[in-house]
Amino acid sequence: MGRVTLRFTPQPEHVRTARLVAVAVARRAGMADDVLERLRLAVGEACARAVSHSRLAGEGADVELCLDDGSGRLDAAVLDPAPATADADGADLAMTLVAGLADEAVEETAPHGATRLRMAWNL
Amino acid sequence: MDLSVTSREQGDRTVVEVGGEIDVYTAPVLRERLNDLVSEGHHHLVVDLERVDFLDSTGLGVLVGGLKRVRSHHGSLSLVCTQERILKVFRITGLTKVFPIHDSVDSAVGAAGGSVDA
Repeated sequence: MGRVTLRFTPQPEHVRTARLVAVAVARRAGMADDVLERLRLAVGEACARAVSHSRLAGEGADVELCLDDGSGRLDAAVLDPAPATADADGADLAMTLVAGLADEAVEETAPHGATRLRMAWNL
Repeated sequence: MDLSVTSREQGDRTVVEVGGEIDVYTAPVLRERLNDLVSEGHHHLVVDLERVDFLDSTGLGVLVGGLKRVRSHHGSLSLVCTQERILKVFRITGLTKVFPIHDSVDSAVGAAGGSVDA
């Protein structure tokens, strides 16, 4: 199926757009409905967290969602351009949700001080 | 509009009916409505989530904020929710232990104020 990347300015209204794109891509990749709900929420949480970090840092750097369905999994990676060094309560709740919803979730460093939250679901 | 919030009185409670999606973009609207209701003296709230399609951690934060606010006035805030996809969000975050969650507005209104249901 290939890769779909959505890049957007860090505005809260675009988080819903990111959720819709993620669900559309995952559905096309054959993801079951109950798993789609988990993906929808997890991608939303990851994007909302990145948007909030970017706005707090004042830079307004773009957030990026990348979806790929290689090897029997659906991978969703969210690039957070301005990760907070100490997360506020809201972000902790977001990560609790992501950990509980994704089959796998790993946060790794990315260039220019960014981080990438990689989530995956078995198809 | 992605979110609708209406309120009405039932028994000695104020029922807040929420519809649509509660997320990082729309949650501030709900926060403001809950704050307004508390400021106007409505301290026993029942938040009906039956027509909510989506709830994220920002929405949870608004509900927790509402709970704290009514508690500071010796009030109560309970929820009505039977949708599994919404209940799951409360379960994963452990918030089912924090909010009384009822199957219907009638049972929420009929329950004792401030009680913690399983």
